[in-house]
Amino acid sequence: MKNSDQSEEVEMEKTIRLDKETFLSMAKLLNLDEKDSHLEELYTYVEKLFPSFKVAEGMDLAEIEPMLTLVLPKE
Amino acid sequence: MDSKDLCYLSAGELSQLIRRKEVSPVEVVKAHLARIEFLEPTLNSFITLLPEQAMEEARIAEHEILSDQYRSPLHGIPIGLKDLFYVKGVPNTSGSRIFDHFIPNYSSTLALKLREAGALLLGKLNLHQFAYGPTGENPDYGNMHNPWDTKRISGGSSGGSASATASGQCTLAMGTDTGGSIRIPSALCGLAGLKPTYGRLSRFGMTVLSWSQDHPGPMARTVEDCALVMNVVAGYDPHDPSSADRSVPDFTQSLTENIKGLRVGVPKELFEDPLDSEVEHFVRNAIEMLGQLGATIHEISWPMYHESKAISSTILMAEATAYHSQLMRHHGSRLDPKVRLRLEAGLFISAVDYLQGQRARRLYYQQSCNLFKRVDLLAGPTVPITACKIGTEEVRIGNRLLGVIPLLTQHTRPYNLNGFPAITVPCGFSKNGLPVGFQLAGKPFDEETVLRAAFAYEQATEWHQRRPPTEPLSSGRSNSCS
Repeated sequence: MKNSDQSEEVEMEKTIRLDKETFLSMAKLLNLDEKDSHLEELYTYVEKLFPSFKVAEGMDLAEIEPMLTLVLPKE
Repeated sequence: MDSKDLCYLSAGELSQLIRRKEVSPVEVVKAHLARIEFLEPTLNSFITLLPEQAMEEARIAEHEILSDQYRSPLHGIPIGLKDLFYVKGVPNTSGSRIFDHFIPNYSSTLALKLREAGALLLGKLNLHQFAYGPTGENPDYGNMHNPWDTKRISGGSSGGSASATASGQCTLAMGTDTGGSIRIPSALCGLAGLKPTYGRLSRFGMTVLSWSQDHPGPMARTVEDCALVMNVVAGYDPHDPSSADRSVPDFTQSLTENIKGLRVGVPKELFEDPLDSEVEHFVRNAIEMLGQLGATIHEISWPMYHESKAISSTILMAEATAYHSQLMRHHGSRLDPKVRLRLEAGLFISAVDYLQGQRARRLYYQQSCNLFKRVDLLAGPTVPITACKIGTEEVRIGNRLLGVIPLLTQHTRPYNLNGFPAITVPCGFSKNGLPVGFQLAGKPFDEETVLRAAFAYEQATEWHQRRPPTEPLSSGRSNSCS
C-alpha cells in the first residue's frame, strides 16, 4: 500500500503527463502537420520534457511577480 | 620568434610588442592567416574568412601605431566573432544555410567597439545552429573540432570561437552564452571564458536565442585578456533595452590584488549532480588552491539550484520558439533536425508555464542574492565531463547512462537564469589529455572579483600555459551530426 506522499507523487505525475491524444490535438491547433513522420519523434521529445515545463507549479510563488523587464523611455 | 609562437602570445603580451613597435600588426595577421590555412581543414572553426579585409586593416593599424596613434591594448590584435554578431557588409549566417546570403547593413555594438579599439577581424566563427545547442555540431557548415583531440566536440554553441582561440588561429574571440555557450566550449578547449553580468555588454546586433538569457562575452587564453576585452566592450548602450546604465571599472586594475579573505562558497548541490570523478578531483583541488591563496572556503546550500535548470530551460525554449517562429514554420525542413525539435517543442510551453517560470526566476534571483550576503564568490565545476567524441548521445558516469546535452549545461544554466557573472578557467587535464574547467561566479556587476580570483588561480597554476597538439592529430573532420 502506498503512503500519502507516494500517492501525491503519482497524482502529480498523472497531472503533468502529456498523453499522445492531447499532444496530437495540440499539434493540430499549433498547425503542425499531423502526417509528418517527424511528429512521432517530437512527441517522444516533448513527453520527456513536459514535466519540466511545469516545474514552477510545485513552488510557493505567492506575492511573487514575474521577472519581466519593462523599460520605459527616459523622455 | 617564429610565426607559431606569435600566434600563441596573449593579447596582453602581443599588445606590448605592438605598442613598442617591435612587432607589426601586418606580421601578426600574416602569421594568423597562415595558421588558419594550416589548421582550418581539420578544425573548421570559421564560416567566413576575411583575409583581404584583415590585411588591409592591419596595414592601417601599422600606419597608425607608427604615427603614435595607439588606440588601445587591442590595437592590432587579431580576433574572431561568433557568426551571430552583425558586422556591416559581412555575411551573418547564425550557423544556418538559410542565412547564407544575409548581409547586415549595420554592425552590432560589440563589433563596432572592438573595431574602434583597433582589433582586427579575421573572420566569423562557426557555431551550433542559431546558438541552440552545447556540442558544436553543425550539419550545415560542418562540425567544429576540439584542438586537443580533433575527433571530439569543441563544445558549443560558441565552438568555433573556442577551437580558433585554443589553437592560435586568433588571439581571442567573442562568443555568446544563453545556457553555457561561452563557458562550455571554453572549458572543453582549455580557455578562459567570461559570461559577464546580464546587461553589462550590449546585445544590440546579435542574433537572438533567448532575450532574457543571452549574454555576450570574451573567450581567451588568459584571464587578463578577458579583462582587456571587457575594458573595450562593457558599457551602456541605448540600442539594447536590457543594457545596464552603470559605471564601468577598469577590469585590469584589480586583477593583481591578492584574494586574502575572499569568501568562496561551494554549494553542495553542485556536487550532487552527476560528475565525472576526474573532473571532481581537479575542481576540488582548484577550490583548495583558492584556500591556499588566502580565500576562506565555505560549504553552503543553494536551495533552488536543482530546479533552476528546468526553469532556465523552459524560459529559453519559449523565447527561442517565439523568436524563430516564422523561420520554423516556413523553413522547418531546412533546419538542423535537432534544432527543429527544440524549436517545435517550445510550442508546447503555455503562457502560464512561461510566466510561472518567470515568477520562479524572481524567487531564485532573490535566493541567489541572499547567498552573496554570506560569500563573495561561488565555485564549482563548469562542465561535469571532458569533451566526448563527436556524435555521442550519452555518456556513462558511474553506473548511470546520461544524455550529453543536459549534462553539458547542468552547471552553467543556473547563472544564465540569475544573470550573475561567471568565468571558467582550466584547472587540469584528464588522463587522455583533455582540459577540465573550473567555474567561479560573482554577484551582479562584480566581474572585478570574479576576474581577480580567476587570475590569482591561473597565475598559481600552469594549466593555461599548455598548448594543444599543434599539428592536426587526425583527419577527424566530420559533417555528421548523428
